[in-house]
Amino acid sequence: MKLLGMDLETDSPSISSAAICPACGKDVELEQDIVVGEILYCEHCGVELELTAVDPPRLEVFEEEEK
Amino acid sequence: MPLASRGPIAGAEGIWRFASRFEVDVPTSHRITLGEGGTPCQEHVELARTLGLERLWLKREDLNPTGSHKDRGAAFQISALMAEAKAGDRTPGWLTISSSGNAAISAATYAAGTPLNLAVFVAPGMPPARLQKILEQGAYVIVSERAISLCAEFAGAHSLANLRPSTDPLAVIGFMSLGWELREQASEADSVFTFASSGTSLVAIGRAVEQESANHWPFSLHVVQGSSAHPIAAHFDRRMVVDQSGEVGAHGARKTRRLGEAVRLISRSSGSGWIVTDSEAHAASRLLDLQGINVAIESAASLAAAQRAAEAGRVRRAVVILTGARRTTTETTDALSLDLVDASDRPAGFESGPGPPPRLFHAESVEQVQVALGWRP
Repeated sequence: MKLLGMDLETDSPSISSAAICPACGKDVELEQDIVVGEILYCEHCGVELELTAVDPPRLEVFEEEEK
Repeated sequence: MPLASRGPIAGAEGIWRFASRFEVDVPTSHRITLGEGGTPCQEHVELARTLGLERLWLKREDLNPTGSHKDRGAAFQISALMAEAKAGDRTPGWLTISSSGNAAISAATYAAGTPLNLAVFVAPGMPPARLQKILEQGAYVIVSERAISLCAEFAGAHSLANLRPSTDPLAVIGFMSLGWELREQASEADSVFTFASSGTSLVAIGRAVEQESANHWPFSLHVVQGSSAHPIAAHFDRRMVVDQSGEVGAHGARKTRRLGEAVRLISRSSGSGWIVTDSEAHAASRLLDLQGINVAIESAASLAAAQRAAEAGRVRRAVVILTGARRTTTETTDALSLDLVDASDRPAGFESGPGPPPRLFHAESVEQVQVALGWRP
């Protein structure tokens, strides 16, 4: 299983611990064990973000599914 | 059954047996119940043998008052909100929820015996039989193409509670009672399997068990999801079984705010995730039918996942949580066909006309919802 902090299969260390908020352009700190698809808040602008990739880490503004 | 017919419970039953462990204190006088929680965990010897397990227990959450484990969350949420309103000397007013599933039925049923009004926001495709159950409990229903976000906007605009389990912390607290029961009932099990949509109840089970177990998990926790939506299980199950029209978890979310915590809890428990196909779930459903157990296809999917885990040598003594009862055929196949009232056309003095006022509306804006509910601007 691939986590940002490490790959549980290879136990490799994390590559990065921050990504850019697409809404305000500021750095968002990422916990080491964050997973792809996880939803988090930008502490600078308050927007909900989704982690869409880990290598390199990429954030997108979270859009609620209407189901 | 209105809650008023039962009244506040005098002792500690069901979920309220764990009242002292809940993070939010609810005075005894405000604890409402229909008998939710305290469900049996039944051992099935023959079924275990059929599935290749040493032992198998079925946790019968389908036996909750409205037929699903969502009753635990609804009972706690509404009790806590009633207590909060009383403590602040405020008149209880309106609650909201967006859900097209069992959570809406639970919320409507538990709100029915209280002074609270409930507005349920649903998507247009909701089965009419399910909708009828909500209306029968006296709730108002808003049908919207953007039910989830409109509910959030409306609740935010008027500072109302939004009972949607995937976003309300009170729901998690209520669901934790399921985890504490499992700690007691699953002492001989090595694994617990549960279906998840947003993963809220799974997270609650995980939190409850970790809270009691001091980092030593008594069993591994396994998440089960269908082929149409599996945001949590996909972190563990690499099978390519994407089927957008899949029946198992058809209304499930493809994105969930509980994802990260759910994945970490499962990992810490040494559990896993399982994506179950419709055919696997239907095969398991037939086995349950032979036992006289009629549950929703999502519950059967959990049994199918336990079977796969047993075949893979991952588990030997499993508890499978049957999260919901089976609904009728009509309910699961029909599209919404009830007549809707367009909120934008609702005339002034509408509610004073002959007959009971309608409680089923179509609305797409906060203003239209206000009109539908009879609120004056």
